Amino acid sequence: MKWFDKFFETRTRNIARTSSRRSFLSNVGKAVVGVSVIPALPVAKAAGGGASAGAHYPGVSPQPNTNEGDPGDPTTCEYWRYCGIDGFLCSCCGGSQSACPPGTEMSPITWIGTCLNPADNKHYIISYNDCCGKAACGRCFCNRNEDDTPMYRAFSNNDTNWCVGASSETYVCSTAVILGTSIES
Amino acid sequence: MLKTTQLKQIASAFGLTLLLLQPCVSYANDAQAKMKYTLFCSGCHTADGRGSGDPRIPDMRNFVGYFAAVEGGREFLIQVPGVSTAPLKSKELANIVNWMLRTFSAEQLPDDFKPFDEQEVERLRQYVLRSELGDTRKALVTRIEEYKNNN
Repeated sequence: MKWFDKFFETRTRNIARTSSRRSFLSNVGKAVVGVSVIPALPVAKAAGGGASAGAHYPGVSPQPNTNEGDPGDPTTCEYWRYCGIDGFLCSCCGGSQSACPPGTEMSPITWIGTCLNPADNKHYIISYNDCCGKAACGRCFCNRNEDDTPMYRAFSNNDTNWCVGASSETYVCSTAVILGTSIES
Repeated sequence: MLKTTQLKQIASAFGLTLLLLQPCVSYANDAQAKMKYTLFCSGCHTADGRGSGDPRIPDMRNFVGYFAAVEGGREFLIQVPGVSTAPLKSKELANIVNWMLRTFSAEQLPDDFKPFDEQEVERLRQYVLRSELGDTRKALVTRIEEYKNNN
Protein backbone atom coordinates (compact mmCIF):
# COMPACT_ATOMS: atom_id res chain seq x y z
CA MET A 1 0.00 0.00 0.00
CA LYS A 2 3.03 2.22 0.11
CA TRP A 3 2.71 3.15 -3.55
CA PHE A 4 -0.92 4.14 -2.84
CA ASP A 5 0.07 6.53 -0.03
CA LYS A 6 2.88 7.93 -2.15
CA PHE A 7 0.59 8.51 -5.14
CA PHE A 8 -1.98 10.48 -3.16
CA GLU A 9 0.63 12.38 -1.18
CA THR A 10 2.28 13.56 -4.44
CA ARG A 11 -1.07 14.51 -6.00
CA THR A 12 -2.21 16.41 -2.90
CA ARG A 13 1.10 18.24 -2.57
CA ASN A 14 0.95 19.15 -6.27
CA ILE A 15 -2.55 20.59 -5.91
CA ALA A 16 -1.54 22.46 -2.74
CA ARG A 17 1.50 23.91 -4.50
CA THR A 18 -0.32 25.03 -7.70
CA SER A 19 -3.58 26.36 -6.25
CA SER A 20 -4.47 28.75 -3.49
CA ARG A 21 -7.05 28.11 -0.78
CA ARG A 22 -8.83 31.24 -1.94
CA SER A 23 -9.37 29.90 -5.48
CA PHE A 24 -10.60 26.59 -4.03
CA LEU A 25 -13.17 28.42 -1.91
CA SER A 26 -14.20 30.56 -4.85
CA ASN A 27 -14.74 27.46 -7.05
CA VAL A 28 -16.80 25.78 -4.32
CA GLY A 29 -18.84 29.00 -4.05
CA LYS A 30 -19.47 29.05 -7.81
CA ALA A 31 -20.62 25.44 -7.73
CA VAL A 32 -23.03 26.09 -4.84
CA VAL A 33 -24.54 29.20 -6.46
CA GLY A 34 -24.64 27.57 -9.92
CA VAL A 35 -26.54 24.53 -8.70
CA SER A 36 -29.11 26.70 -6.96
CA VAL A 37 -29.55 29.06 -9.96
CA ILE A 38 -29.97 26.49 -12.76
CA PRO A 39 -33.53 25.46 -11.78
CA ALA A 40 -34.55 29.15 -11.76
CA LEU A 41 -33.56 29.73 -15.42
CA PRO A 42 -36.50 30.01 -17.86
CA VAL A 43 -35.37 27.00 -19.84
CA ALA A 44 -35.52 24.83 -16.77
CA LYS A 45 -38.96 26.19 -15.95
CA ALA A 46 -40.23 25.27 -19.40
CA ALA A 47 -38.86 21.77 -19.10
CA GLY A 48 -40.32 21.42 -15.63
CA GLY A 49 -43.74 22.43 -16.91
CA GLY A 50 -44.81 26.06 -16.90
CA ALA A 51 -48.13 27.12 -18.42
CA SER A 52 -46.61 26.93 -21.89
CA ALA A 53 -45.27 23.42 -21.51
CA GLY A 54 -48.42 21.40 -21.24
CA ALA A 55 -48.59 21.49 -17.46
CA HIS A 56 -51.86 22.06 -15.76
CA TYR A 57 -52.87 25.20 -14.05
CA PRO A 58 -53.08 24.52 -10.30
CA GLY A 59 -56.55 23.31 -9.43
CA VAL A 60 -57.53 22.51 -13.02
CA SER A 61 -57.84 18.81 -13.76
CA PRO A 62 -56.69 17.44 -17.12
CA GLN A 63 -59.45 16.99 -19.71
CA PRO A 64 -57.90 14.67 -22.28
CA ASN A 65 -60.00 14.55 -25.41
CA THR A 66 -61.25 11.06 -26.24
CA ASN A 67 -62.20 12.07 -29.78
CA GLU A 68 -59.39 10.87 -32.06
CA GLY A 69 -60.14 13.58 -34.62
CA ASP A 70 -59.71 16.34 -32.05
CA PRO A 71 -56.62 15.30 -30.09
CA GLY A 72 -55.12 16.99 -27.05
CA ASP A 73 -56.17 18.52 -23.78
CA PRO A 74 -58.15 21.78 -24.12
CA THR A 75 -56.98 22.93 -20.69
CA THR A 76 -53.39 23.27 -21.95
CA CYS A 77 -51.91 25.90 -24.26
CA GLU A 78 -50.59 23.17 -26.59
CA TYR A 79 -54.05 22.03 -27.67
CA TRP A 80 -53.99 22.34 -31.50
CA ARG A 81 -56.92 24.76 -31.79
CA TYR A 82 -55.13 27.32 -29.63
CA CYS A 83 -52.44 28.11 -32.23
CA GLY A 84 -53.44 31.78 -32.33
CA ILE A 85 -54.90 32.29 -28.87
CA ASP A 86 -54.15 35.15 -26.50
CA GLY A 87 -56.04 35.01 -23.23
CA PHE A 88 -57.53 32.78 -20.55
CA LEU A 89 -58.84 29.39 -21.65
CA CYS A 90 -62.59 29.02 -21.15
CA SER A 91 -61.93 25.27 -20.67
CA CYS A 92 -60.34 26.23 -17.33
CA CYS A 93 -63.08 28.71 -16.40
CA GLY A 94 -66.22 26.60 -16.33
CA GLY A 95 -66.76 26.59 -20.08
CA SER A 96 -65.12 24.58 -22.84
CA GLN A 97 -63.04 25.11 -25.96
CA SER A 98 -66.24 25.97 -27.82
CA ALA A 99 -68.62 27.23 -25.12
CA CYS A 100 -68.62 30.16 -22.72
CA PRO A 101 -68.86 29.64 -18.94
CA PRO A 102 -72.36 30.07 -17.47
CA GLY A 103 -73.23 33.70 -16.82
CA THR A 104 -71.09 35.03 -19.66
CA GLU A 105 -71.97 36.03 -23.20
CA MET A 106 -70.11 35.10 -26.36
CA SER A 107 -69.01 38.12 -28.34
CA PRO A 108 -70.68 38.16 -31.76
CA ILE A 109 -67.56 39.58 -33.40
CA THR A 110 -64.26 37.80 -33.21
CA TRP A 111 -60.89 37.16 -34.75
CA ILE A 112 -60.45 34.23 -37.03
CA GLY A 113 -57.40 32.21 -38.01
CA THR A 114 -56.42 28.73 -39.12
CA CYS A 115 -54.74 25.91 -37.17
CA LEU A 116 -53.33 22.60 -38.34
CA ASN A 117 -55.07 19.58 -36.86
CA PRO A 118 -52.40 16.91 -36.24
CA ALA A 119 -55.04 14.16 -36.46
CA ASP A 120 -55.76 14.61 -40.19
CA ASN A 121 -53.07 17.16 -41.17
CA LYS A 122 -55.71 19.62 -42.41
CA HIS A 123 -55.98 23.32 -41.68
CA TYR A 124 -59.18 24.32 -39.91
CA ILE A 125 -60.75 27.77 -39.66
CA ILE A 126 -60.87 28.67 -35.96
CA SER A 127 -62.92 31.48 -34.47
CA TYR A 128 -61.47 32.81 -31.21
CA ASN A 129 -64.70 34.13 -29.72
CA ASP A 130 -64.21 35.99 -26.45
CA CYS A 131 -66.62 35.40 -23.59
CA CYS A 132 -67.71 38.57 -21.85
CA GLY A 133 -69.14 39.15 -18.41
CA LYS A 134 -68.29 40.55 -15.00
CA ALA A 135 -64.62 39.76 -14.35
CA ALA A 136 -61.62 38.24 -16.12
CA CYS A 137 -61.25 34.53 -15.36
CA GLY A 138 -57.52 34.68 -14.64
CA ARG A 139 -56.82 30.95 -15.10
CA CYS A 140 -54.78 29.18 -17.78
CA PHE A 141 -53.32 32.16 -19.60
CA CYS A 142 -51.98 31.29 -23.05
CA ASN A 143 -50.41 33.51 -25.68
CA ARG A 144 -49.33 31.68 -28.84
CA ASN A 145 -49.92 34.36 -31.49
CA GLU A 146 -49.44 32.19 -34.57
CA ASP A 147 -51.02 34.02 -37.57
CA ASP A 148 -51.56 37.08 -35.39
CA THR A 149 -51.39 40.35 -37.34
CA PRO A 150 -50.71 43.94 -36.22
CA MET A 151 -53.53 46.06 -34.78
CA TYR A 152 -54.22 47.79 -38.12
CA ARG A 153 -55.34 44.44 -39.47
CA ALA A 154 -57.88 44.13 -36.71
CA PHE A 155 -59.80 41.15 -38.09
CA SER A 156 -56.89 38.84 -37.37
CA ASN A 157 -55.39 40.55 -34.36
CA ASN A 158 -55.68 38.85 -31.01
CA ASP A 159 -54.85 41.85 -28.80
CA THR A 160 -58.19 43.44 -29.62
CA ASN A 161 -60.86 43.18 -26.94
CA TRP A 162 -63.57 41.56 -29.02
CA CYS A 163 -66.08 42.10 -26.21
CA VAL A 164 -66.83 45.49 -27.76
CA GLY A 165 -69.58 43.68 -29.65
CA ALA A 166 -71.21 42.19 -26.54
CA SER A 167 -73.42 43.82 -23.91
CA SER A 168 -70.59 43.73 -21.36
CA GLU A 169 -67.18 44.89 -22.51
CA THR A 170 -65.36 43.01 -19.73
CA TYR A 171 -63.30 40.14 -21.10
CA VAL A 172 -63.61 36.81 -19.22
CA CYS A 173 -61.95 34.11 -21.36
CA SER A 174 -61.44 32.83 -24.93
CA THR A 175 -62.88 29.90 -26.88
CA ALA A 176 -61.65 28.28 -30.10
CA VAL A 177 -64.63 27.28 -32.24
CA ILE A 178 -64.17 25.33 -35.49
CA LEU A 179 -65.94 27.02 -38.42
CA GLY A 180 -64.82 24.69 -41.17
CA THR A 181 -61.83 23.44 -43.10
CA SER A 182 -59.57 25.76 -44.99
CA ILE A 183 -59.24 24.82 -48.67
CA GLU A 184 -56.23 25.74 -50.77
CA SER A 185 -56.69 28.23 -53.60
CA MET B 1 -56.48 10.49 -90.95
CA LEU B 2 -59.66 11.34 -89.09
CA LYS B 3 -62.72 12.06 -91.14
CA THR B 4 -64.59 15.35 -90.78
CA THR B 5 -67.53 13.61 -89.11
CA GLN B 6 -65.21 12.05 -86.54
CA LEU B 7 -63.62 15.42 -85.83
CA LYS B 8 -67.07 16.94 -85.37
CA GLN B 9 -67.99 14.18 -82.94
CA ILE B 10 -64.82 14.72 -80.93
CA ALA B 11 -65.38 18.48 -80.86
CA SER B 12 -68.96 18.13 -79.70
CA ALA B 13 -67.96 15.62 -77.00
CA PHE B 14 -65.28 18.06 -75.80
CA GLY B 15 -67.80 20.92 -75.79
CA LEU B 16 -70.29 18.84 -73.84
CA THR B 17 -67.63 17.96 -71.26
CA LEU B 18 -66.81 21.64 -70.81
CA LEU B 19 -70.49 22.45 -70.43
CA LEU B 20 -70.92 19.73 -67.81
CA LEU B 21 -67.83 20.91 -65.92
CA GLN B 22 -69.10 24.51 -65.71
CA PRO B 23 -71.28 23.99 -62.57
CA CYS B 24 -68.32 22.26 -60.86
CA VAL B 25 -66.10 25.28 -61.53
CA SER B 26 -68.66 27.75 -60.17
CA TYR B 27 -69.26 25.51 -57.17
CA ALA B 28 -65.52 25.48 -56.46
CA ASN B 29 -65.44 29.29 -56.81
CA ASP B 30 -68.35 29.63 -54.38
CA ALA B 31 -66.73 27.29 -51.87
CA GLN B 32 -63.50 29.28 -52.13
CA ALA B 33 -65.37 32.60 -51.75
CA LYS B 34 -67.27 31.33 -48.72
CA MET B 35 -64.05 30.10 -47.11
CA LYS B 36 -62.26 33.41 -47.70
CA TYR B 37 -65.29 35.35 -46.46
CA THR B 38 -65.27 33.25 -43.29
CA LEU B 39 -61.57 33.82 -42.81
CA PHE B 40 -61.29 37.51 -43.64
CA CYS B 41 -64.75 39.06 -43.18
CA SER B 42 -67.01 36.99 -40.94
CA GLY B 43 -65.14 37.91 -37.75
CA CYS B 44 -66.98 41.25 -37.79
CA HIS B 45 -69.75 40.77 -40.37
CA THR B 46 -70.67 37.32 -38.90
CA ALA B 47 -71.22 34.14 -40.90
CA ASP B 48 -74.66 35.12 -42.20
CA GLY B 49 -73.89 38.80 -42.83
CA ARG B 50 -76.12 40.14 -40.03
CA GLY B 51 -73.29 42.29 -38.59
CA SER B 52 -72.54 42.98 -34.96
CA GLY B 53 -75.46 45.22 -34.02
CA ASP B 54 -73.04 48.13 -33.97
CA PRO B 55 -74.01 50.72 -36.64
CA ARG B 56 -70.42 50.63 -37.94
CA ILE B 57 -70.93 46.99 -38.95
CA PRO B 58 -74.46 47.05 -40.43
CA ASP B 59 -76.69 44.17 -41.50
CA MET B 60 -75.92 43.25 -45.11
CA ARG B 61 -78.83 40.84 -45.49
CA ASN B 62 -81.47 41.97 -48.03
CA PHE B 63 -79.75 45.33 -48.34
CA VAL B 64 -76.18 45.27 -49.67
CA GLY B 65 -77.41 44.49 -53.20
CA TYR B 66 -79.06 47.93 -53.43
CA PHE B 67 -75.62 49.53 -53.55
CA ALA B 68 -75.08 47.93 -56.96
CA ALA B 69 -78.26 49.63 -58.17
CA VAL B 70 -77.47 53.28 -57.38
CA GLU B 71 -74.92 55.70 -58.80
CA GLY B 72 -71.61 55.50 -56.92
CA GLY B 73 -72.66 52.33 -55.09
CA ARG B 74 -70.64 49.98 -57.22
CA GLU B 75 -67.48 51.93 -56.41
CA PHE B 76 -68.44 52.06 -52.71
CA LEU B 77 -68.71 48.24 -52.51
CA ILE B 78 -65.04 47.93 -53.41
CA GLN B 79 -63.65 51.11 -51.84
CA VAL B 80 -64.85 50.47 -48.26
CA PRO B 81 -61.64 49.87 -46.28
CA GLY B 82 -62.51 46.31 -45.29
CA VAL B 83 -62.68 45.31 -48.97
CA SER B 84 -60.06 47.49 -50.61
CA THR B 85 -57.34 46.87 -48.01
CA ALA B 86 -58.03 43.15 -47.48
CA PRO B 87 -54.87 41.06 -47.92
CA LEU B 88 -56.36 39.33 -50.96
CA LYS B 89 -55.74 39.44 -54.70
CA SER B 90 -58.22 41.40 -56.79
CA LYS B 91 -59.44 38.24 -58.49
CA GLU B 92 -60.26 36.67 -55.11
CA LEU B 93 -61.89 39.90 -53.91
CA ALA B 94 -64.12 40.04 -57.00
CA ASN B 95 -65.12 36.44 -56.38
CA ILE B 96 -65.91 37.13 -52.70
CA VAL B 97 -67.90 40.33 -53.32
CA ASN B 98 -69.94 38.63 -56.07
CA TRP B 99 -70.63 35.71 -53.74
CA MET B 100 -71.64 38.05 -50.88
CA LEU B 101 -74.03 40.00 -53.09
CA ARG B 102 -75.65 36.81 -54.40
CA THR B 103 -75.78 35.13 -50.98
CA PHE B 104 -76.92 37.96 -48.73
CA SER B 105 -78.94 40.13 -51.04
CA ALA B 106 -79.73 38.51 -54.41
CA GLU B 107 -83.23 39.99 -54.64
CA GLN B 108 -82.00 43.56 -54.26
CA LEU B 109 -79.51 43.31 -57.14
CA PRO B 110 -80.62 45.22 -60.25
CA ASP B 111 -81.73 43.14 -63.24
CA ASP B 112 -78.79 44.35 -65.31
CA PHE B 113 -76.22 43.61 -62.57
CA LYS B 114 -72.85 42.71 -64.01
CA PRO B 115 -70.58 40.74 -61.65
CA PHE B 116 -67.29 42.36 -60.64
CA ASP B 117 -64.19 41.14 -62.42
CA GLU B 118 -60.51 41.27 -61.49
CA GLN B 119 -59.72 44.36 -63.60
CA GLU B 120 -62.58 46.44 -62.19
CA VAL B 121 -61.71 45.55 -58.60
CA GLU B 122 -58.03 46.27 -59.21
CA ARG B 123 -58.90 49.72 -60.61
CA LEU B 124 -61.45 50.64 -57.92
CA ARG B 125 -59.43 49.48 -54.91
CA GLN B 126 -56.67 51.96 -55.70
CA TYR B 127 -58.80 54.47 -53.83
CA VAL B 128 -59.69 53.70 -50.20
CA LEU B 129 -62.55 55.49 -48.44
CA ARG B 130 -61.27 56.76 -45.09
CA SER B 131 -62.51 59.94 -43.39
CA GLU B 132 -65.31 60.41 -45.93
CA LEU B 133 -66.61 56.85 -45.46
CA GLY B 134 -69.54 57.80 -43.19
CA ASP B 135 -70.74 60.69 -45.36
CA THR B 136 -70.42 58.66 -48.55
CA ARG B 137 -72.48 55.85 -47.09
CA LYS B 138 -75.12 58.26 -45.81
CA ALA B 139 -75.50 59.84 -49.26
CA LEU B 140 -75.75 56.40 -50.87
CA VAL B 141 -78.39 55.22 -48.38
CA THR B 142 -80.49 58.32 -49.29
CA ARG B 143 -80.11 57.39 -52.97
CA ILE B 144 -81.12 53.81 -52.12
CA GLU B 145 -84.28 55.05 -50.37
CA GLU B 146 -85.18 57.09 -53.48
CA TYR B 147 -84.46 54.08 -55.68
CA LYS B 148 -86.72 51.88 -53.53
CA ASN B 149 -89.54 54.42 -53.74
CA ASN B 150 -89.26 54.53 -57.51
CA ASN B 151 -89.12 50.79 -58.06
